[in-house]
Amino acid sequence: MTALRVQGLRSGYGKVPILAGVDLLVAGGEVVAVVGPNGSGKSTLLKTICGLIRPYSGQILFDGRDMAGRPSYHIARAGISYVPEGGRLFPNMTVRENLLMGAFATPANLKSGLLEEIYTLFPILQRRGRQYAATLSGGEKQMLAISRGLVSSPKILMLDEPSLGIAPKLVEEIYDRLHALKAKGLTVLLVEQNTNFALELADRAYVLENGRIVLEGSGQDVAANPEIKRHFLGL
Amino acid sequence: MRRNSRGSWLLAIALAAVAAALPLAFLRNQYNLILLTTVALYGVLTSAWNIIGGMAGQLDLSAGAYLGLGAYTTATLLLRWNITPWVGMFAGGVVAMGFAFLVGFPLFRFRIREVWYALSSSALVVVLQVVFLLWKQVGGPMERLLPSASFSLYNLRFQSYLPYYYIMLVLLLATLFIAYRIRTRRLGYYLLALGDNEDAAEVLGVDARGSKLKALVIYAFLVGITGGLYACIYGFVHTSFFSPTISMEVAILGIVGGLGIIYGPLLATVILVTGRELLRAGLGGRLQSLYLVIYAVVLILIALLRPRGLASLLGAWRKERR
Ligand SMILES: Nc1ncnc2c1ncn2[C@@H]1O[C@H](COP(=O)(O)OP(=O)(O)OP(=O)(O)O)[C@@H](O)[C@H]1O
Ligand SMILES: [Mg+2]
Repeated sequence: MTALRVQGLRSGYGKVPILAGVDLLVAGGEVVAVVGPNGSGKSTLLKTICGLIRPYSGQILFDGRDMAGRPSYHIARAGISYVPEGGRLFPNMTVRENLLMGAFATPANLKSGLLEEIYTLFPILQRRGRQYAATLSGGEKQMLAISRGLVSSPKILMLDEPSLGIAPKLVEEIYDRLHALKAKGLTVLLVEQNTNFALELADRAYVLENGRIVLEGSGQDVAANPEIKRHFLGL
Repeated sequence: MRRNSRGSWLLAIALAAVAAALPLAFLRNQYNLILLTTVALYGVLTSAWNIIGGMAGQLDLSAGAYLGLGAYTTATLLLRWNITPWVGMFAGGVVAMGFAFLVGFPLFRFRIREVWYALSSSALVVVLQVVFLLWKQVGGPMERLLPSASFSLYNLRFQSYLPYYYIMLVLLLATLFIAYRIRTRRLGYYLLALGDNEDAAEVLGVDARGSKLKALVIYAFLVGITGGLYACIYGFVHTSFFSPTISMEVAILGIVGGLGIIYGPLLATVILVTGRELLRAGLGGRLQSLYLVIYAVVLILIALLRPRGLASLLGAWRKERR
């Protein structure tokens, strides 16, 4: 079962093209990673899929429907959840309100017990519930961002650099939880520079360079590819 | 949580009762009644502003536009077709609402925000002022007097300010209730999220344009109704009702009160508008505009000391008690 199929996707900022025809596939229940050097267009890819950037051309097929060019709130309501680089929380809302926002905006609303599930995943969020999101530590912010993306029970979760600017120990903790979510069958499209963690988690991976997919394979294959190691990933 | 909210309701009802009883203390003094009515009027404007400015985070400076539209609609309906202001003020609200929709649609479509939104919305006030100045059939440079019977329930014309105060108080309570309903429901969360981070809200499924448009239209409706009442209280309409000063003041009080907090703007209005009027009365004879200087200094001090607004004073106090 295919959850997301991107075909010939071209997009950019204004007249500056970034993605030069990207093809990519995420099957249901699969974790797919997109890795690549700085500025290769990884974030642009996710922003285009979630509708923050209009593509020039190409298709974004989700559950068989083409999402290209639709407003982002449509795409979100269809079940594509996007956790942006740096989290982009609502700083003047409390932790709890941030979580509720994640559920409020979807027609499904908050499934009962889902908040509890989130709290089991990241217990710290329950303790910080009444605190303004602006006052969280970097790691807590990232946990909240991921959780906010999860409470809408999305069909696919798209993560942009969940390890960005976070202490190694917390990165480990976050990836540990991502492994747990994967085991539960969550479909994930993950963008990372921290390739060690990402490729270990991913079933399959794509390498993006200059807006093009240059390599595709299983997580281990990509991680083991000597060319890739040397050129982009600095392993 | 629940007990807390029941306490808040009781407190709100008690305060409303106090507000209703206040004139009993002042009954003989029309000056005090004018003061109370003015505070209530500004309370409506700032509490309504809170919906678009405080919750949705759009720095709106167009209160004067909707105030003027409401006033002129009410006056024109009464003068031309003898339609009672009781109906006219709601018609004024609807006209303001329709106008807000026409303006908000393109503004939010093109994601006009921050200073650009502030500029466009304040330009609106001035543009309408000129339009009504030139529109001879409805506006024009002269004041248009409403029928001047000394008492007429039909024309909403009273000898005392007392009835105006009570009508304004009802409108104020309704406005606060509407703001409260919005804040605690889905739309309120949407607006707060949009005010905080628009892109992040949209990718969570929030229809930014639709939500802001709703907020703007509700705000305009409430201000439009107030405009109708405003015309009746003054007994005339004039193009100066399209006032950039009032628009600015409403936004300032809304910000000083505490963005997005239901009672914040009202709190700021009660303290600052009362203080300003008392200062004006106390100093007016000697120094014409000293009261404005003091008023401005107080505003600056609040902005410096309480960046989250006056309401955060109460918030801090409540947290300590907990
Ligand atoms: N808002 C923008 N306007 C114009 N150009 C942009 C914008 N955002 C990103 N770019 C450019 O697009 C290119 C791709 O950026 P993108 O953020 O997609 O890279 P990335 O692969 O996510 O990099 P990183 O690993 O550093 O996050 C870069 O050259 C960047 O300068
Ligand atoms: Mg990036």
